[in-house]
Amino acid sequence: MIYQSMVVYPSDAIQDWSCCGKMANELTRSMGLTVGASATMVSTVLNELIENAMKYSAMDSLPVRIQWGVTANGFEAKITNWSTKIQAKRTLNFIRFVRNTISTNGYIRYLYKQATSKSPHSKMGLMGICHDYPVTLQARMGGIPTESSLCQITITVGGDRKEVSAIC
Amino acid sequence: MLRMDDYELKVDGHTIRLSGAFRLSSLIHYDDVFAPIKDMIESSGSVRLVMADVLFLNSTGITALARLVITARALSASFTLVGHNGVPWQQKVFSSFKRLYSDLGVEFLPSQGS
Repeated sequence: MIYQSMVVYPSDAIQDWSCCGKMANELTRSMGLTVGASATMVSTVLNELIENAMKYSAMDSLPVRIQWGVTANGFEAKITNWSTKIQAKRTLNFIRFVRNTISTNGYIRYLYKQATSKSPHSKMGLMGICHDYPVTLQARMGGIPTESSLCQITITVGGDRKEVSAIC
Repeated sequence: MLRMDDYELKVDGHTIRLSGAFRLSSLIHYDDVFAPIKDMIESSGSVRLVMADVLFLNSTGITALARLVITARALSASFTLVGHNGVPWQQKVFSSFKRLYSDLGVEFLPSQGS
């Protein structure tokens, strides 16, 4: 897999949140998907992960690295941001929870809980990706200097071209 | 009518039409944008929300839309979501919303040629 990559900063997104969507659309186009339901789906998934990295970065001035590429079978993207170790562990545990327990009933209960919460953040991004789209999601922590409270967290998303086409 | 760079909201009687890409950053922003929809649910008890031309809605938007569905359920309001067959997220999300409110109306406009 040959990745293309780019670095962006949460401070850019704070100034203009629509840049997350524009990046997702550009990445999707660079994978050869320009129009149609598959392009909409891939852009939606990438947008969620980019928004997630921007929202949960420990500091607005720390870089978010986005890597993406296509294979004969589909696509893969990796989004890496700096996070507090506590937040990174939460994300890892949440992805494990979602992957292991996702069901329609569980999703509906979670959606209801978030929709009736007072929080300004919906916390539905990773859950929605796992529930609604035929993609794999993995997370890992890295670059952890022991004295720092920060670490890098990388979320990798992969989709199989046939499965993506099948639902679109 | 509310028009921003990426999206538009038009009110026509009991019908509200959304179009464009809704990728706002927080539920507070969505509450502002969706306020006319909530007001109409609460005041008239009948809303037809046409989203066939909404290509993108982020997860925050899905949660904001779920709030409207829950509001409609609490008031036993007539609330119908109109989507498009060719937009993959609409099929999945509307079907989930139907489980939040069984009386929710869900319609899909066919793709051209189908």
